[in-house]
Amino acid sequence: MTADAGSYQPPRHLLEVLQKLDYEEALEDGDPRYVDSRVARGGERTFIRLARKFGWDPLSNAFFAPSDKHILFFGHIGSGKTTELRRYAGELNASRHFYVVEVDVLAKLDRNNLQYTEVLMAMAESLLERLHDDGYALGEEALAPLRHWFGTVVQTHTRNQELSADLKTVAEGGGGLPGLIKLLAHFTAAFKIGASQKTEWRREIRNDFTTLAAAFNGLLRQLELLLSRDQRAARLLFLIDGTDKMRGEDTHKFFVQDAEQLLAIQALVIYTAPLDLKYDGRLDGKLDADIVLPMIKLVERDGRPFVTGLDTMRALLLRRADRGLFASDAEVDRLVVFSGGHPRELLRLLKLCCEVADASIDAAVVETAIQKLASEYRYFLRPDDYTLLKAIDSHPAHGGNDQRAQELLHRLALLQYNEGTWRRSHPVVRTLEGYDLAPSAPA
Amino acid sequence: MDRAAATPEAAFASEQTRLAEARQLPGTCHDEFLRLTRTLLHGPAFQWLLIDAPHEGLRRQVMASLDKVLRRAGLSSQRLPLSDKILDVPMLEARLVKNARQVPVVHVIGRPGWFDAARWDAFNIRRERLAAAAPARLVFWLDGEAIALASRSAPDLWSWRGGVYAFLPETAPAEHHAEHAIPLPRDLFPQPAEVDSRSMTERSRRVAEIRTWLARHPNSPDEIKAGIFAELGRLLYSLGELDAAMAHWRDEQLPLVQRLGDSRAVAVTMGDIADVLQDRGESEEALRIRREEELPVYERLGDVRSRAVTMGKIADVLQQRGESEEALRIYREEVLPMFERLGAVRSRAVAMGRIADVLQERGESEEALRIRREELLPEFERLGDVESRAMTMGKIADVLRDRGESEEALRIYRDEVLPMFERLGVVRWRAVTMGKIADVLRDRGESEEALRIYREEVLPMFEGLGYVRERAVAMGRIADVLQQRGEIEEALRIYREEELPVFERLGDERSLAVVMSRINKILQADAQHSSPGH
Repeated sequence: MTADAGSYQPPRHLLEVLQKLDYEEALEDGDPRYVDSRVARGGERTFIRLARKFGWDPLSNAFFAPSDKHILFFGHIGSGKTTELRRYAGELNASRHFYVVEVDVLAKLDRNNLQYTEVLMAMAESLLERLHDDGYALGEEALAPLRHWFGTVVQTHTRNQELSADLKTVAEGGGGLPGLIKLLAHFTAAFKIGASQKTEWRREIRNDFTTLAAAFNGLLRQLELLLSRDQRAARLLFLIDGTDKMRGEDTHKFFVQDAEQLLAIQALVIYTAPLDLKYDGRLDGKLDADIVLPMIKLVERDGRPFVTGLDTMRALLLRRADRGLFASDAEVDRLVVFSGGHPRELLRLLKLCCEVADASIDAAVVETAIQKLASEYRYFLRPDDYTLLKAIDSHPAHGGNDQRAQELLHRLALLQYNEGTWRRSHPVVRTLEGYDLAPSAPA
Repeated sequence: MDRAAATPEAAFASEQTRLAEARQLPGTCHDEFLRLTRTLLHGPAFQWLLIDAPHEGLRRQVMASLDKVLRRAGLSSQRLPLSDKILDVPMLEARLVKNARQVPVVHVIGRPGWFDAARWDAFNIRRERLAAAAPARLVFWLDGEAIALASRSAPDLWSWRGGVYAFLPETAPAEHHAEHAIPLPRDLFPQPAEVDSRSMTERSRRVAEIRTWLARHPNSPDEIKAGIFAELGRLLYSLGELDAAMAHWRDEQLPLVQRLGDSRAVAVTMGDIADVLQDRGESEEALRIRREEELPVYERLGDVRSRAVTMGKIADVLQQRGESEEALRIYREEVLPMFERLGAVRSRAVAMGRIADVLQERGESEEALRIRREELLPEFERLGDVESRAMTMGKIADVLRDRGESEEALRIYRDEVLPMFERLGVVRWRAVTMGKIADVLRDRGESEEALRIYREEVLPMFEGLGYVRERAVAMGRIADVLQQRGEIEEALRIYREEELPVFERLGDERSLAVVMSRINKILQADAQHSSPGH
């Protein structure tokens, strides 16, 4: 169930635990703190389903890839999407059917006012960087279409002297792969810092997007041939991370209005996406929106404990804090139960414990932590929210996808399990007086 | 790790400041302040923390306390008020980045209405960039409304929060929330435990609870206050707040018990005051109080237990003055039999400990060691009296050190004694133990480190607490090291100006004799050095 932790020693001091808790940190492949949660999420087939959508059956190793596939990967904020995707990327890579290129949008671009144009540039840059790092040297034939596009479309419009020089070099056939990477890096850097030419370049790219898409697709095919000849992989696969963290209007523009542009890139692509997008009814079916990273389930829908989920969350907690810091197993279990199966919420509870504990995490400390986390939810929950949450708890399949339910999902007051087949309120919310006082749903 | 925890000594001092500042705040803020300061001092370098502090006066008070804690830990901070000069979120971002490059903690002081939904959204989209460019603890002082708006308008940002901390003023007792926040009065009257094993934090929290209750019930009957006052005074004393304890006993508790006409309580309070006087070196006045204001009362009331305790304290003063024979007589003939007759096992064990002290001082260290190992340790362990156990272990280590078993002595001081005093927050005994560690290091020739501990860890603690005798002893240790290093002039000055007058005032004949002998030794060596033929 768990990754080999080797000689890893979790922090043994409360202050050390506190210092090392960073909710935003996605674990790298091989990180000893990682715990395999696939079975525990009650959606153990998530990876298999994802792989099969890309034409590979991990069970039989049968492989026949579609010409292109754009998949949205949904999940709660902080539920471990990036961490899980890194694990998926590792397995897809290891299959030697796919050459996975990870694109961290947040690192490469400015997510304020992010559009597909610059995501495409970041994809190209990450791809070429990865190839270069792996020692591939691309010939003129592979690079020519992209170089030509830059040379003819953008060169005449740029006012940036350094960029002009780079464009000139690339257009004249110099610099090879490193030259093209440098050029793309200039673009993404300019997009990231919000350079004045951003709008102008966007317009250029949009106006001549068909040519660019064709040039990029041509490059992808050339590279796939190269990788196949090398028996490295049959297909390139892009993993675009960070697109779940765009601002609301950009999310809509990117995944709904500009979906056609995304689809123009004939590639295998996974995009991270916010959970509320799946349920707000605006996706029009162009992008594959089936896959949801489920929460780690702690109970079955009928209320029976789900031992695998509890064990996984326990393991996750004990990779962040040594067992010796807890007065007994009961404290570990109670924290797990009140996390609702949400990894970040578990870490948040752990942080609260470290803030209030004297020497060890005992029952009183755990109760205080639960109370403190619950009080943070009190800031935004309204009386009718409690009523809705109580109604959903009475009838887990109830809740619909109205605005309020989506907002509660987005803010984690409502958690969903088994890929959305049932939902339940966050356990800490159920300790609040407002929840107690809310009218019960009719039977 | 944070600078606050760079050394165990610094960590302890930082913890002391943290708790002391928390106790200065209204009781409702005590625990939140401890939470906030812990994450600021020990959490990651970048954090975004939300503070719900709607009342300006209280916010200022909390920030002032916070600044003291941060300064003690070596963390500087800057304030960034959201005034009219900050026009929008991009400007705020630029200012945050600039400030965060200069200091590790930036306080953003919100103004009602500055953050609306659009601005939270704008802040949200900058968060990763901010985390990369402003690697500091960003503390946003807001009100509940602004925090609620952040959680509603920018759920991603909300999910990114490091924590929410609420500093709210006391609410009226009638309100439901207030009744939950503060223990009900019946919880305030525990039977005073002979052994108080509560940690430093727990005792600090208790001080805050009591102060809160008293502030909210200023007109409660004196009979109720009497029990609470007694606990508060002992707590302050145990936390090393001698001035506060003295003021409390003299200005609050004594008038109260006098009003009540409770002569025994008056005598007990005078005894408390005498404890502080004794710690400050005013042993004559302490002795007078015990003999004239305590003993007659207990004798009149037939309170044999309190009389025995007071006799023991009188013997402590006598022993301190070098009158060890008389002290031993009192312990053996007046104190010990009484506790045995009363079946007061802990008090008997404490008295046995005093007897062992005198025996050790007279050179009968084997018998002292036997008493401590065979009689005292098992008794304190059985009673769960961790403080007395730690003190006994420390005394055992003293004997081992005298026998030359310095490694084992050092291990006991460091691994068994010091951690317990730190947990309990017994500042005085912690400093004494640090001094003993330095003594061993000095014996082993590590004079630099010994000198550093005396100067940086021991002396400031005793000076801060007002323990006059202990301060003089520490100064003497410094002089001993200086003398070893050949800095004769300075050593002589310390013996003459810093030690002698104190021991004279205390009437501590034995210590006076030791200092005089050291001075004479230096002078003789100097004379020999200056005499013809040298």
